[in-house]
Amino acid sequence: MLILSVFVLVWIAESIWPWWGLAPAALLAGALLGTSAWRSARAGFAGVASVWLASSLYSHWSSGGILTGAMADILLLPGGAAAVFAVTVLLGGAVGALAAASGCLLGHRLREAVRRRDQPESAPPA
Amino acid sequence: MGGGTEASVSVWVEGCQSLDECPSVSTDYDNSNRGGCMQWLKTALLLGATVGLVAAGSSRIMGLPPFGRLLDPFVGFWQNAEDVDSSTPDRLEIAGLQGQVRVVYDDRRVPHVLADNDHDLYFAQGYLVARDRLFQIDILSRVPAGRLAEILGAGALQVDRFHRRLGLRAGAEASLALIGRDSVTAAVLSDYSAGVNAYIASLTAAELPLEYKLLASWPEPWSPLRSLMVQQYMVSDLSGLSLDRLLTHVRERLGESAVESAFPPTLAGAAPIVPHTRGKKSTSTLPAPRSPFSLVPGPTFPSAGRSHGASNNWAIAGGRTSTGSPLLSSDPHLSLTLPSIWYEVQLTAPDLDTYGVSIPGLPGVIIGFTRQVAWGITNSNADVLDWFQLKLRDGSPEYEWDGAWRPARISVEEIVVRDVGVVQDTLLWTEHGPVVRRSAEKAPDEEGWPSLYDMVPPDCAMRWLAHVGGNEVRTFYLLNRASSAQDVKAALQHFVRPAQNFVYATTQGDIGMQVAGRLPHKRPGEGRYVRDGSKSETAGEDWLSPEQNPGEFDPARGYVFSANQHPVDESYGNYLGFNFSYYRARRLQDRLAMMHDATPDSMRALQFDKHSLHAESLLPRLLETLDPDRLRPIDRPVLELLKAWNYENRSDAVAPTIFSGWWKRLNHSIWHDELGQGWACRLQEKCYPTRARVVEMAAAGGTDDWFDDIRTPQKETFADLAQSSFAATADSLRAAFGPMGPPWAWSSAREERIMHLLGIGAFSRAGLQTGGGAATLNAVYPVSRSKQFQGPSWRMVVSLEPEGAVGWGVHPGGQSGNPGSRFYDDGVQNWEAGELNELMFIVDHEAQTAYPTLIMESR
Repeated sequence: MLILSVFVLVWIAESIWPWWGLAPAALLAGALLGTSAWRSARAGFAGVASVWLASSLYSHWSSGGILTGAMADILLLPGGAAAVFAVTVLLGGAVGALAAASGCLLGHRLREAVRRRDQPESAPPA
Repeated sequence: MGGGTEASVSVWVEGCQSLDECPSVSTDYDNSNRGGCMQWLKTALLLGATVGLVAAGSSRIMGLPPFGRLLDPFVGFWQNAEDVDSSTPDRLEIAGLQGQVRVVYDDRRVPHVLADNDHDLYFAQGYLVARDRLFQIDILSRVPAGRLAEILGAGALQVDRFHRRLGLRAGAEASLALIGRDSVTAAVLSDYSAGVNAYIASLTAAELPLEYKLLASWPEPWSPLRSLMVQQYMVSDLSGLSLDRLLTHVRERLGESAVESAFPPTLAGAAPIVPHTRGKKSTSTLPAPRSPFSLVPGPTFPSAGRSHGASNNWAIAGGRTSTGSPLLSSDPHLSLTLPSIWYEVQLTAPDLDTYGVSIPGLPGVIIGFTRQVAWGITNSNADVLDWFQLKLRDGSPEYEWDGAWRPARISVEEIVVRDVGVVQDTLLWTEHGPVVRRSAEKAPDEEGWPSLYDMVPPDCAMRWLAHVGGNEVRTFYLLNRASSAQDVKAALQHFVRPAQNFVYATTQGDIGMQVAGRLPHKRPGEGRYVRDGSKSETAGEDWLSPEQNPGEFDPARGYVFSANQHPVDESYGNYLGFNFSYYRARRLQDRLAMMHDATPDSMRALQFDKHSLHAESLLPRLLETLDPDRLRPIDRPVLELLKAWNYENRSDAVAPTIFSGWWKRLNHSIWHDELGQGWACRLQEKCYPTRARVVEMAAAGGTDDWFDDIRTPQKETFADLAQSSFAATADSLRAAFGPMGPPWAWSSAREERIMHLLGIGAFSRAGLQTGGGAATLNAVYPVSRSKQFQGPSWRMVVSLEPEGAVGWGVHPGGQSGNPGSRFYDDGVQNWEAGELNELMFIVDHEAQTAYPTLIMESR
């Protein structure tokens, strides 16, 4: 569920915002649906990595891979096109993982704060 | 990145508002409630890490591209990978157009622009060029302006400083002022500029050209001045080499007779563009040049350079062609780059119908044809750059002028260097022109100066045609509308910089060749050396009037041709320089003189001709002088191969590799002992006298003093140098490529390639197999020791048939400047094979029916 939400939200955000749009999108998904930081990080990674993999694969195939090998050369990546995909997916995934995990924690902190504000008398003694 | 943080916050707040309605949210926060501070700290750390990673991914760190932006498939380089089946958008609404423009794309993605008025035509041309070549026009205009370091950083500082000191901006500003007084061309430039800007304004992050993504840069607005900077780039490229410093140096070391012997103003057997010039141009009526021929013994100059011109053009009258109609060939040679220096286009509006190639950044068609007229260009190589020795006052920006000190005009150049700041450079302007190099200047920055800096004599003022304004836009505006030889001649009257050999032919059956552009008015030999710059009598420009330029019209021999050779014979009287090419012109003359029933294919074949007249002139002498008894057995097969060679520089042949290596060593051994001493010229090989001069010396018995190695006690001859350089060549080839065999083949041994504009290897094309050489008509050869090749930048053949001109052409690149497009280098294959594409005029009624058509309309 979380992976799917990250996937959809990130795809929408990337279509509207510059590249950093994926961070708030994954963060929002983590905040809404994240159960734990680790699980959110994994889902954030998988979600964004899939968006970037799907999108880059589409570019690669539709263009006959015209730029992928050249970019491996420019970025000094041994391993050719596969390495370009790997770096792309890892970078997107890493941002997604961090954003979703921080979203999850932020969500928790927020809900905690809201509960304390709404029920100050039932809050446990400090 | 600040924007990124704000967006994160705003999304987070929106998310918060829906939290309470979200039942699926787990509520395990009780567990995490322990140690609230720690939890907040963890949250903050993770958030910080997220923001940090996003910030790092958006930033250029240590000159590396911003990886996040670059790799993101939605906006990064992936977006530049063009769909194989991409079709152009069929409709665009653009503010600034007056009506509708139809842009028909053919299968090589050449835009055929059909407009209802001139404004829309040039606006659309600017827009389309920007869409295909934005990064290229940006770089081309930045080079002469000295503004590369703004986007490339400190590595480009010395190149920028050099170009600013050449005073190229002054020439562009003078041209702009001149064009401002001609409302027609002023409008052409401004409409073109508006078109470029309309595209830049519409640009999205995803559409940004790939080079900008790698550099983390964004294009700045275009302007007419930036177009004129592109013009200055061409002027500089075609006339920016001067051998004055070299000749002055040789004269100082070895005397004037040595200069005259090594660098004679003319060579026997040359085939001038306009033979028997005096009979065609009445130069006897030329007044004496105003500037007295005053020379100054120069200080020790360490270096110089040589022009690399190798273009060809010719036209054949109907009497020599199979159809009875004239044929024209234009084959301009320039440094080969990707994207190509040319952009093919058809421009059609009510008052013009023209097809050909444009220079990205400049309006109009530069080489091409209308329905009735075709024209082509080669560089005239006339000497339009002179140096004047100054006496500069210590500690003050003043120079001696008629016995008194005169203040130089000071221009403080502010060079913006990326990641560094603003670097100031003071430029001195004298009555003659700018001072490019100062002897008093500390030279901690010697590294990084472009190699041309070596040819600049210190403390000298530069008088250069590039500082003079010109309205070349007017010439091409008129050529694009020409329908007769008279129209062409009228158009060429406006051409100023630098002088070019214009060939033309018409459907009325005329052919002609005209040297157009401003030529200096000089006595024989004037301007060969650095001159005294301290007298007012040497100041000021002295140019020939356009009607004194050499030219030919419908000559009886039935053909006209040029190949950067001497434009005139000695009867002309006025000195135009000495740095002209020789063998290509001789070869062209030989071939054209025997040509009958010529077809467009004979023209194509001649453009692709790989026969080396230089080898044919020199090799037999080398072979007959070689003593077989002194050859090592291992070298005998090498010699046998050369003996069997037919002088064709074929890409798969081994003999051209051997001959070329032999020639270079021989040439070096002839000149290095005399000319190579006492300077550290990086252009050294290019500073040696011409090939033809060596052949002339070899033919004259081979005992000329130049053959003697002055460092040895005995006297060497041509035969001695031939013998020793042959063995050394064979050794070096074996060391580089192993035993004689396929790795010695011409194209692979010299690693033929076309480099990307910024030298990015992955965007270059290596492993080409095309052959040719510096002294063949198909003059593909490496520039100095760099990986850059020079060669045919546009091959065009036009048949001027009564019912309308028909053209063929090819350039070694493609229409797109995007390395992610298949149209980036789709022309290279045909160019490499010597094939031409058909160049079609497309008419309005074919738009939208026969070809994909883009409709551009006013918003």
